[in-house]
Amino acid sequence: MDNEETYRLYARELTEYATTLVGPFDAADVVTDSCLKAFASRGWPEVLNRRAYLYRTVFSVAKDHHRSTMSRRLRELKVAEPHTVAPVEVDLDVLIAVERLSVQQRAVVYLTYWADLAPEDVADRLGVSTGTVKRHLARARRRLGEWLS
Amino acid sequence: MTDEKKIKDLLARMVAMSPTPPTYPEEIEMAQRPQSPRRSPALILAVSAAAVLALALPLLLFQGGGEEPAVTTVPAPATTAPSTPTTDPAVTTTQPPATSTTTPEALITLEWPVFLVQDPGNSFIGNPAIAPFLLPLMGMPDEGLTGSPIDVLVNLDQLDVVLPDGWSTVVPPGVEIVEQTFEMTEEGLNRTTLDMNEAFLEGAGGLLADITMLNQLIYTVSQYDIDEVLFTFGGEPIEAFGSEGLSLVEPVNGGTFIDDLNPIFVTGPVVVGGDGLPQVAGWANVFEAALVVQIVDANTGVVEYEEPVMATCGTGCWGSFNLGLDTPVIDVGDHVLVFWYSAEDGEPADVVTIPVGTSGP
Repeated sequence: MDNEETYRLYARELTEYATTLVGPFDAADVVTDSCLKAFASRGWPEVLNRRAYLYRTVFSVAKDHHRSTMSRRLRELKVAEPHTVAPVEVDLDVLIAVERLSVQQRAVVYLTYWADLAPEDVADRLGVSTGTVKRHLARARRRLGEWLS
Repeated sequence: MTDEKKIKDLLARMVAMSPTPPTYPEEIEMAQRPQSPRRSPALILAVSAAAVLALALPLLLFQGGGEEPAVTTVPAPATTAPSTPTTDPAVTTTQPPATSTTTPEALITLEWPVFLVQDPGNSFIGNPAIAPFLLPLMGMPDEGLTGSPIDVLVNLDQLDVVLPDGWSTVVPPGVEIVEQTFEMTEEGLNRTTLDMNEAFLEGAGGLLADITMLNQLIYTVSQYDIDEVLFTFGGEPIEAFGSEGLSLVEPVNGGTFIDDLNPIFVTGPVVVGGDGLPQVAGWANVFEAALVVQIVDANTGVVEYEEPVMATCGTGCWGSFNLGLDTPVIDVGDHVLVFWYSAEDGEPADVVTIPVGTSGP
């Protein structure tokens, strides 16, 4: 499978994953940057599980993404003039809820509850221990307390 | 609906906001072409260094209030020594971090000591802990910054800086310092006056949050020989601040609201220095002054090191503590925990958890 095929196969789910990590405004950029980074890496031709590798790269790029970007965009949206057209359809309540989580917590929540991965697989996908995954999950649930209640 | 279903609903709504996946970018093909010349890492480093130097030089040259950022090399391990409190709890003075030399081809990062608040989850349980962290910045936005730790603190939401996991700020976006002045009082005290904007008067959303914000501001600005802080609005002392109309007519200092802090207060950045021997120092007001410092592997949760340490006073009074670890056990990503064992149930109490970075958390 060449790079373009790989890209077309996973672009949709990677964009959804990136949306959870950095919000809808910058998800496309994060996916593009991640694929550029992955495909250009020397080890890419030898990668066996390309999907997992791309997920890990998206996570890595998202972590480097400006932390307050989503916060800033949220504030801009809140004070935006009515005629301002948002680049995507936004659900402010959801963004405000997710904004309480760190990027790591968002990744763990997404991979656990959306991708239905076991903690060991989430840990492998993110390059952390299973204990860290469980801790992030517990913290995420605590921080989402208001939403969950 | 169970928590799991609610989280899945949240994710479904988040995913529903996903934009259309970007089209397969031509740059990918460019990156794949074998004939494409690879950029020299040395060239990238040199260009990056030049860019960062251009951003950083004005800051390096700025001497606002005698405050100097630490300069460390990247990616070489930082050699910044951890600071230690040198005075009584009323005013905690943190020694300015050392300035290390940078090689011409190395990237530099400015590190500013800023007091952050330990994230308690959804609400404060007990008094919140604050601690200073060296926040690495590659540049500063043009607006509202004069180049000092206090400016970094009130502009955190605009800066390209990742806060350490579990730590944040309660200073609301919109709070600004209109002007900062310095003077020597008749009593010979170094006073700084912070003239704040109107957003400051509203506080941080509750009495405890208001006081925590004040503590963040006071301790951040009180580093480097500031004895007291006077907050003003429009040049006049503030008669009613925050949700409960707190009077700030009189100057305040680190001791004014110290009893509204967690009983354990780490006052110096916990960093891995050049020798790999970190120091953990601060103030505590705990039962029998008996504290414990632990080093915990953040990934595995394994306690790698535990050492008891005594504060100079306890059970109703604040005493200082200072533990210089004698073994380089801290790795990047480890957590330093400071707590005391509760006499009630033997469990760790008032735990302060500090993630450790190479030169700052």
